[in-house]
Amino acid sequence: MGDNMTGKKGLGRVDAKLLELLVCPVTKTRLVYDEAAQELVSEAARLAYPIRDGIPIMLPEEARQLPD
Amino acid sequence: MSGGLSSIDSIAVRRAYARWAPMYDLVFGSLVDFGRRQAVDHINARHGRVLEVGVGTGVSLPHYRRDLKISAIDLSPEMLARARARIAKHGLENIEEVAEMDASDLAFEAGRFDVVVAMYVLTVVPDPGRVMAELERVCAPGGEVIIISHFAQDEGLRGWAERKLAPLSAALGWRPDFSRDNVMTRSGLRLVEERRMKPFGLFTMLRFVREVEWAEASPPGEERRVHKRREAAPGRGYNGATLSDPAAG
Repeated sequence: MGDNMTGKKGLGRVDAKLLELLVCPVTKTRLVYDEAAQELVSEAARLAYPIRDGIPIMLPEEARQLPD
Repeated sequence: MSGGLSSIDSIAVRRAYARWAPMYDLVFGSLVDFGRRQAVDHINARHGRVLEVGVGTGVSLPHYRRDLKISAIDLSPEMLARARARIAKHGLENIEEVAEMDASDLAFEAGRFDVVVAMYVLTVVPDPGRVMAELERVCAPGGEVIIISHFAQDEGLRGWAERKLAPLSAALGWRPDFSRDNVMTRSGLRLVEERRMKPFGLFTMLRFVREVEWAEASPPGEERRVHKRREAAPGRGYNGATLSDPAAG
């Protein structure tokens, strides 16, 4: 286990494997984890959900609208 | 999909909990702890992945058996910050995920969890029926959905305690008139236990088993036959209904 958000990597790091198990709350489809941007991208909903301090914010109203 | 009435309500709920976060444990802690502990004790007899919806400040987190894998969500970032501090303080490696989510639009795949628990959540959400549908969706067949909630009751000691608590209810957006019918909406969730919690029986635990279904394909026009298996998969340890005496509070 180890490298989850409570583990060695400390706050702000999230286990990528766990992130990939999340789905878009709007479309329930898969997300792509953008580690550099700290975002979870839903192509289906054209939304990027932010990860702040290691906490994914899975709310459409908090997400960034992707350009078309 | 986003926007509209429900997200306005969500914002109001988030604001209320942001205001209450610093003193929540002090004011509400002892009142709701009994229920949380009883639910966690029950969950600790089970196995696998647990989702706690509305984890709040995370008071229940240190009490889960350490080999259960816990996902914890809440709508309030202020509450989640406190939950995170608690996780760090206790070194809880079994809390695998903490995320900000709306209980009516969960960001989990169907059937991901063996136990889904929502304590003191259903009375504050704008659409309890939709939340119940989501709890059912993310629960694996044969798994359990556990609700702790206040349900309206007029007479006796509960009625008295309810009136005493009305100002607190208003502060956190609880609905004093919340009826049990609001959560009895899912045909895929079979009620197996109903237990009044201390103190005063103000709160009730409802325990559902997510029905195991098969035979999805049935000819059109024919009544859909859903076979319900009374016993869950081995290891899930479900032994049938255990309805406790609802009068015992």
